[in-house]
Amino acid sequence: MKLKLLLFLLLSVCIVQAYAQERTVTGTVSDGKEGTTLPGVNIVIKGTVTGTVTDFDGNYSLKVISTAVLEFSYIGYEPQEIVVGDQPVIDVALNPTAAFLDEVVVVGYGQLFKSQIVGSISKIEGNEIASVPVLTAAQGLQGKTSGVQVVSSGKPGAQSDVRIRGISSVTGDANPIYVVDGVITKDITNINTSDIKSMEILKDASSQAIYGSRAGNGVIIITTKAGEAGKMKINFDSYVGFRSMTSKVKMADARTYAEYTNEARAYDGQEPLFDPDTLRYDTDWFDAVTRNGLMNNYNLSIQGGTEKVTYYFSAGYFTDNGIIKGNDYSRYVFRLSNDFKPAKFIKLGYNLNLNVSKNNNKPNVFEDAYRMAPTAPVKYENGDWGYLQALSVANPVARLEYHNDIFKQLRLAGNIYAELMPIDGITFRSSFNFDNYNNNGTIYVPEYYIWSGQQNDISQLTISNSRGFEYIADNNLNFIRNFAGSHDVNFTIGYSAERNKSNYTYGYVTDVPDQINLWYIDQGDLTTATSGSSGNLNTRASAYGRLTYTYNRRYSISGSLRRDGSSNFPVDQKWGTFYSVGATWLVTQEEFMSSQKIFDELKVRGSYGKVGNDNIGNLNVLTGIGVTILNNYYAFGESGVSPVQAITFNQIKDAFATWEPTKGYDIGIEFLTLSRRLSGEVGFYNKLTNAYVNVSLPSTVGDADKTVFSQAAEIRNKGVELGLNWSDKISKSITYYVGANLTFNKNNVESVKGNLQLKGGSLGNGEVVTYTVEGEPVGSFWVYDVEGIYQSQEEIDASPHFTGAKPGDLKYKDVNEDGVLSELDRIFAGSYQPKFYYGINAGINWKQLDFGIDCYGNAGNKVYNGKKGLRFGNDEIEEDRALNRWSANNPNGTEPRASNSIPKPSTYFVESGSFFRINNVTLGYTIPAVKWHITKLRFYVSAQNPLIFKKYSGFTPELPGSVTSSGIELNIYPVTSTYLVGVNLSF
Amino acid sequence: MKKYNILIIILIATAFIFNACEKDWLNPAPENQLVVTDSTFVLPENATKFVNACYTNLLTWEESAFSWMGVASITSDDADKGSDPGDLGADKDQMDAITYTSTSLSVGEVWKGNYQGVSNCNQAIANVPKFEIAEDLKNRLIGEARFLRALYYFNLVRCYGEVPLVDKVLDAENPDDLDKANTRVPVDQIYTFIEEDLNYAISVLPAGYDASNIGRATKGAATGFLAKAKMYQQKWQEAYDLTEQIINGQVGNFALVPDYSTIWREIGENSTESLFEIQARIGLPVAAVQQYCSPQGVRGGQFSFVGIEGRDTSAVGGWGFNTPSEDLFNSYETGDVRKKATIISIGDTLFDQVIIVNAANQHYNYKSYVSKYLESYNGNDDRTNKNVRILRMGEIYLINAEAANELANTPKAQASMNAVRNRAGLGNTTAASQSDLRMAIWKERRWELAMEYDRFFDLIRQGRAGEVLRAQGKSFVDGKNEVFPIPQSEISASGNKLTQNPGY
Repeated sequence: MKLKLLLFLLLSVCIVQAYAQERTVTGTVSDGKEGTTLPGVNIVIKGTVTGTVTDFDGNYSLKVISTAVLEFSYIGYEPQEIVVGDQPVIDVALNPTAAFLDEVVVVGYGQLFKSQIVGSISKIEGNEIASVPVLTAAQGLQGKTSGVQVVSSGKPGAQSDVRIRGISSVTGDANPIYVVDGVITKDITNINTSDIKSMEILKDASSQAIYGSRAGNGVIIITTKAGEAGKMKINFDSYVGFRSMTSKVKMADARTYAEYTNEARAYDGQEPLFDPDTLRYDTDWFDAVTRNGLMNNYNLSIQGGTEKVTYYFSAGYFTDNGIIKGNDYSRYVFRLSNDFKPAKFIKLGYNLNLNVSKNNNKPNVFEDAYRMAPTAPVKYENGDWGYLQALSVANPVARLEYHNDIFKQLRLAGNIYAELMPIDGITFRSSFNFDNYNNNGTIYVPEYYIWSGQQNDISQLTISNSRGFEYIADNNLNFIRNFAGSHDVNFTIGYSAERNKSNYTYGYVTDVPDQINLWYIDQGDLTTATSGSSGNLNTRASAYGRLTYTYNRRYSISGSLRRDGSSNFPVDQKWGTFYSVGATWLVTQEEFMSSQKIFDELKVRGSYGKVGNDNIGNLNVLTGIGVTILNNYYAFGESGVSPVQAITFNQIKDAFATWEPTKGYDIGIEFLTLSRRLSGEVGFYNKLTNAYVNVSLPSTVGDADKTVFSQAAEIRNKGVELGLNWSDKISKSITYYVGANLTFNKNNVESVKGNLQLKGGSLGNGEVVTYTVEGEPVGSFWVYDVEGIYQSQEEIDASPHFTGAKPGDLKYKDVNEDGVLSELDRIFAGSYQPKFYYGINAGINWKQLDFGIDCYGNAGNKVYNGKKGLRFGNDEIEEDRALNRWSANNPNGTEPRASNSIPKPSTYFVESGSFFRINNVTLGYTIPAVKWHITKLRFYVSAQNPLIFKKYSGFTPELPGSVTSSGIELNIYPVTSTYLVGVNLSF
Repeated sequence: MKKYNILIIILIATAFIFNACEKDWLNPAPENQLVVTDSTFVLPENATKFVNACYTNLLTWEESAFSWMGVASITSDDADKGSDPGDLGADKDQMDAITYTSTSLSVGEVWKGNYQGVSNCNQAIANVPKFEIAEDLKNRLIGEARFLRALYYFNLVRCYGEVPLVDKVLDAENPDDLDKANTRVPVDQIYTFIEEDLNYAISVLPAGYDASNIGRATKGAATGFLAKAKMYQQKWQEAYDLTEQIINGQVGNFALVPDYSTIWREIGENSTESLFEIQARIGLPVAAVQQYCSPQGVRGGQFSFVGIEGRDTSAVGGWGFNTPSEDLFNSYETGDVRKKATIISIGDTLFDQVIIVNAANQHYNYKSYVSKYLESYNGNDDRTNKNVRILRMGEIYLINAEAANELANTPKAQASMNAVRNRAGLGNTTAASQSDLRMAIWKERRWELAMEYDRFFDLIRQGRAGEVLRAQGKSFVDGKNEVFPIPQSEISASGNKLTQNPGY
C-alpha cells in the first residue's frame, strides 16, 4: 500500500515537472549570526520530495518553477521558507535556534548534535577550564559535571586521579584516556588549559565503544583552539598568586610532647627521655618545611586568517612553587596550528604542541615533619642540624637541603592531517598523530652526616633519560547526508595503526663533587659506576565504525563497532571486538507535545555497549626468564671474582590474558524547561567489569610473587547522575546562573574466582589496611574493631588481647569469638569511594562586575588516618591525642594511653572522608569602552580552595593513590589554597 | 588533478592498511626480555645458571633476613625482639613472646622463601639434563641443586612439621600437581626425601672447588647436613659415623680455626671451619643477602674511636632487632672468649676500635656486625659483605660429641666437646655421666652456636623447649609450639586444602 502511494507521488512530481516552466536557482546559505557559510543544509521544494543540499562552501543550485516554495532546514537552525518568484539567486541566512539539544558535541572521530547522542557525554567549554588556576585540565574538571570524580594533591606538576563513574580496574590504571586532537595519552600536563576549546567526557560504554580496547575507564576528548577566518585577534591572560597550606594539624608543643614521651617510655620500663622543665626548643616542623609558594601564569595567543589559511599561535609560561621549600615547577607551552584550504575539496593542516618543563622535586617530608620531635631545633646555635638520638626520624629540613632531584621534560605532540571532500557530504581524513617526549632526571645526594640515623657516607649521582615516541596513523571516512528531508545519516568508518616505543637509560656513580655543573658520571669514582637500560614496544591496529540515523529529528538510533588488535596479548588473544547500540527520542518534537508548556525540549536516551581496558600492569604475556640485578647474582669464588648470573622460571602466566572488558547500559532524560531557563539531565548507569586481579597461588607452586594475574573479579558500578542549570536575567544589566550536579555511585565486587587475597594499603609500618573481597567496594578498609579503652589489667586478662596490652590501650573486638585476636577478627569499615559527590556553581553579572563561585564535595566515604599509626618510638604526637590521653589519673581519657608501640590498624584510624569545599571564588571587573583597539580588559581576584568543611582531623580528605590503597593519609602533599590576581586583555 | 589527489591519498591509506594487517605488526619481539625458546637450552653456560638460582634464593629477604630471624632466633631464649619497644618489626613482639598466629608475617615469609628455593631447585633438576654438557658436570650440578633442596626442606620440616613434598616442577593448571602442592606428608617422609637428596649429593659432589667456584656445595657440606639431619632423627650411629668422616678429613679438608672471634668476620670467610656458608659480595652486580645485617645492627648508636685519626664518628648501624638476651649474656662461664665474640655491649671496643658509647639497646649481635673500616663496605647497609655461616666445624664436633654420648662412648664425647671448649679458652669438661654430659653438650651448643639461628630448633629437638622458654616468660604451649602454624595466606591460596597444625 505504501509502495503504491510512493509511486503515485513520484509520478505526480514527474507530471508537475513536465508541466511547469523550470529554471535554475542558485545561492549560498549562511549562519545568520556568525556569517559563516553552512555546508549540508537541506533544501526541499515544499510539497515534494525533490531537493538538494548545500556543498562544502554553502552553495547550492536547484531546478525549480517560480511558484515553488523552498524549505531550508538544518539541525540547530530555525527552518525558513522562501517563495522562489523571479529571483535567480537566493541567499539565505539561517538563524541558530539556540536550543541546547542542538549543541554540537565532539564524539570519537566526529561530531554529532546533542539530540542525536544516545549515550552520556558531558561537554565543558574551554573557558570554564581556563579560568581555574590549575596545571592540568583534568583538575579543572573538579565539580563541573556529574559522573566525574577528581582527586588531586597539592604537588606541583602532578596529575590528578580521575574516576569516571566509579572504579572499574583494580590492579591497572583506573584513570581515563585523553584524546588530545587525535593523540591518545594518559598524561596531559603538556597541555596549556588556555589552549583548550572544549572537553567532552565520554562517560558510558556506548560513547566510549569507538575507542574500544582503551576506553574502559572513560575517555576525555580535548579539542584545542584553532584559528578562525577574520581579523587578527590577540589575547593576553595572566595571573599571579600564592599558595598556602589549607589546614594544619595541631601538634603537641615541646613540653606536652616531652611529658607524653616520658610517660610512654615509663610503660616500657625505660628511663625518661626529657626533663620537661629544661627544654630549650619548641620547633613547629610544619612551619620549618613549608612556605607560601608563588604561582605565575602568562598566556599570549594570536589567531586569525583568511578563507584559505587560518592560524593559531600561543605561548604560555606557568610556574608553581609548591608549599614545600625548594619544590618548584615551571612549564613553557608553545602551540602552533595552521589550516589550509587550497581548493574547495581539500583541506590540510597541522597542530603542534611543544612543552618544556622543569621540576625541582623534593622528598615528601610531611611524614617526617609530623613525627619529628619539637624539642629538637632545625639547627643548633653552632650550626649543626637538630636531631633526637632516640627517634628514628630524619631532620626534615636537612632532608630538603640535601636532596636534589631535577626533572626536565621536552615533549612535542601534535598531528598533521589532510581532508578530502570529493562529493558533498563525504569527508575523507587521513592523519598522523604523534607524541614524542624526552625526559631527563638528575638526582644528587651529597655526602653529609647529621647523626648515625641520618647520614650519607659518599655522594651519589643518578642520571636518567627516558624517551618515547608514539604515533597513530589514522584514516577515516565521514558521510553526513540528509535524504528526502527527514532522514539524516551520519556514518563514520576508519582504521588506525599505532606504535608506541619507549626506552630508559640510567647511570649511577658515587663520589661526585657537590657542584651542579659537575653532576656528570665522568666526575665520579668510575669504579662504582653502574648503568642500565630497558625499553618497551607495543603496537595496536584497529578498525572502527559508527552509524547514526535520525528520522525527522525525532528519533535517532546509533551503533558503533570497533575491532582492536594489540601486541600486549598472546597470539590467539590479540583481537577484541567492542560495540554499542542505542537510541534517542526527542519527545518534544512529537505532535502531542506541541500543546504542553512544561518542556521546551525533552529527550530520552538509552544505550548499551561493551568497551575494554588494556592498560593492565603486570600482564606480560610471554614467560620471560627473570634477570634482575638483585637476588639474581651469586658470588662464588674468592674476592675479586665477579658474581655469576642465575636464571630460573618463577613466573606463572595466564595464557588466556586479554582485555579487561566492561559492559553496561545508560539511560537518561535531558530537558529544557521553565521558558528555556532551566536545563537538566538525569541519568542512570550500570556497568560490570571483568577485572584483572592478582589471584594468590600457594608458594609450593613456585611463583615468585605467589600470584597469577587473571581476570578473576567482577566489579559493578551503578549510579544515578543529576545535573541542573538555571540561568536568567533580573534586569537588563543583571544576569545570573546557578548550577548543580550530583552523582551517586555504588561500587561493589560482585564475584571473585579463585583464591583472591587482594590486600593493599601498606602503612609502611608492617601493616596493611585494605582488602578487596566479594560484596564490598574495591579497596575497603579492613581493620580491627575498637570496642573501647582498657581500664584495668583485669579487663585485659578477661578478654582476647594482643601481647603487651596495657590499661589505656585500645580494646579490639574478637569478632569470630575464637578467643584470640588475629586477622580473622578484622572487619570492613567502608572505603574511600564516596557514596555521592557533587558540584555547585553560581555566578552573577552586574554591569561591569562579574562574580562566580564553584563548590565541590563528596560524602559517605572513609579515610584512613595512617600517619597517626606511624609510631616507632618517641615520635611527636597530635596535641589532641596527648592532652586527652588515658592514664591512671585520667581514666576518662578519650584517647589511648601514651604509647611508643605501632598500633594495630583499627576503626580508631578510620574517619569520615566527607567534605565540602569552596573550589573557586572569582570577582572580576571589565573596564568599559577602552581605547587602542582593546576589545576587552578585565581584572579579577580569585581564590582557589579558600575554605573547606570537613570532619576529618588530618590535613586533607583528598587523597589520590592507586585503587587499592587510596584514601590513606600517610605522607600526602595536601591540597593547598591559592589566592591570586589576574588580567584578561584582548585586541 | 582532483582525481590524482584522491588516488595518492587512497594509495597512502592502503599502504597503512597493509602495514597494520601485516602479521608482524602485532607480534614484535619483546624488548629487553629473553623468551622461553629453545635457545635457552642451547647455551651450555645456562645449565650452571639454572643451578645458580638455587643459591640466589639464599640471598632473599624471605629466606635469610628479618622473618627468618624472627622464626629461628627471636623465638629462642638467646635473643629478644630488641629495637625500640614500639617498633614491633611487623610481628617480632609475637615471635619473642611465642604468641604468633597463622597470620603473622614472619611465619608466612619463611614458608614462601623456602618453597621458592625448592621450586628453583626443581627447575634446575628438571632443566639441567636438557643441556649438552659433560656428564660429570651435569651430575655435579644436579647434586648441588639436590643439596640445596635438602637444605630448604630441612628448614621447612623443622619449622612446620608435616609439609607438602614438592619433588618436581609443578604445572599450576594440572589438578594432580595442585594436589601435591596442597597435601602435607608425614615428617619421616620429608626426612627420607632429605636423606635421599643428600646421599645423592655426597655421591657426586667434589671435596672442593677451584678458586672461582668456592662456595658451591661440597661433599663435606652434604655430609655435614646429613649428620645434622640424622641427629634430628636421633639416628646416632649414622650421625656419629658421618661426623667422624668429616673430622678425619675423609670428605674434605676441615678443622676448627684457632680464633673463634674471626669465624664471623670477613677474614674468616670460607675458612677450614666452614662446611657451608651463604656467599656475599658488595660491588657490582651486588650479590649479598638482602638486609641480613641492618635489621640486627646497632640502633641509634653513638660511636667513638680509640686512637685513630681521620675517622668520622660513624659505624655501620641498623634497626636493633634480635638482641642477645640477658639470659644468654649471663650464661657464659668465666673466661669463655665466645661471649665477647658473640655479644656487643654498650661500652665495648670492637675489633676495628669502634667504641659503642651509647645505643637504644644494651646488647647487639656481634656476628652480624660489619666494620666500615676494616672490612669491605661501600655504604650500602642493606647488602653488606657478610657471609652467613650455615654449617661449621664447631657444630660438627658437637654433633659428634652428642652422638658419641648417646652411643655411650664417653671419652670420645668428652674429647670432641673439649676440642670446642679449649678453643673457647675453657678447660676440659667435668661432666662424666651420660645425662650430665648430654646437658653439658647442649649448653656447649648454646654458647658455640649462639645467635646463629640454631637455638630454638635445638631446644625443640631436645624436647625441653617448653620448660626453658616458659622460664623466660614466653608463652610456649607444649603440643602446639613445637611447630609453627601453617600460614593462613597459604591455606587460603590452596582453597583451604592445606591443613593447619594442631592448636592454631
